[in-house]
Amino acid sequence: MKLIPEELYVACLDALENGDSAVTILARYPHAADELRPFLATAVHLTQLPMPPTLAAQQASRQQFLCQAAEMRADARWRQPQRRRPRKPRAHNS
Amino acid sequence: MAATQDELILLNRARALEQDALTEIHERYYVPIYRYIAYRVNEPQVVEDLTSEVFLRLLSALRDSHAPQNTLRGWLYGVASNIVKEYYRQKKRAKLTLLDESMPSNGRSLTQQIDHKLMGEKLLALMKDLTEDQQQVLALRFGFEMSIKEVAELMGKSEGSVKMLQARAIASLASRIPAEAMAA
Repeated sequence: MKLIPEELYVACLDALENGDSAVTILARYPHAADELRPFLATAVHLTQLPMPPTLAAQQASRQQFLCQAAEMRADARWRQPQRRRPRKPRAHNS
Repeated sequence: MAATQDELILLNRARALEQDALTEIHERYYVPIYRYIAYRVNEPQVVEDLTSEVFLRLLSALRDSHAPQNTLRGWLYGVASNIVKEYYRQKKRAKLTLLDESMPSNGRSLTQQIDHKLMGEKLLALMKDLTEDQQQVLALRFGFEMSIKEVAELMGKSEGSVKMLQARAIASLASRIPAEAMAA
């Protein structure tokens, strides 16, 4: 197995990010194609890993988040010092 | 990481606990945070719990005035990263007390274990053997979908270093996956 310079790996990833396909990149470096093939396959797999959260999990999390926020809002109002009402001026009956 | 004007406005509204702003934050960041954590922890139920915890910590920070000042995205990433570390610390402690319950390896080679359809899961499992920095780079790049520049700013490294870390990480993973699985 040939030793591939790290700069070549970096260049391949740059090319992938710029939209080049793995086939195009391999054709560009035929002398290192055997070594680059598994590298590029892994990189492509990493970008395509299907790991979306379930809708149920997302909704449950949002519910919990918003409920906690509502409790905090209520708590903040409760803690707010009550404003004193301005006293009515006394009527002087003199 | 520079915040956009839009994010600063959103953050200000979140400080006032506005429900619409909090909903928007959750909508905007739930999936990237989930994916970031999923790259670091290969257990879906745990990933869900840890992702929710990130948002609850945001509320605690807002309450205690420790809220992010200007970079919500970067702040959420930092919290997610800490939560993953805490999870592994706790798991390690739990393992130490439950050593006798651990299962022995089934002795099969990696080649035998790999199923083409499961390559993704295997990749995630193999990620645990990468260095901490390499894991961070892959999780931020492919989970959080951050650019090289954003990752470099967050990790306090040059863009060149991040590119090199990423390349080494992928080369390391590739070297450990049998050729036949690559065709999957």
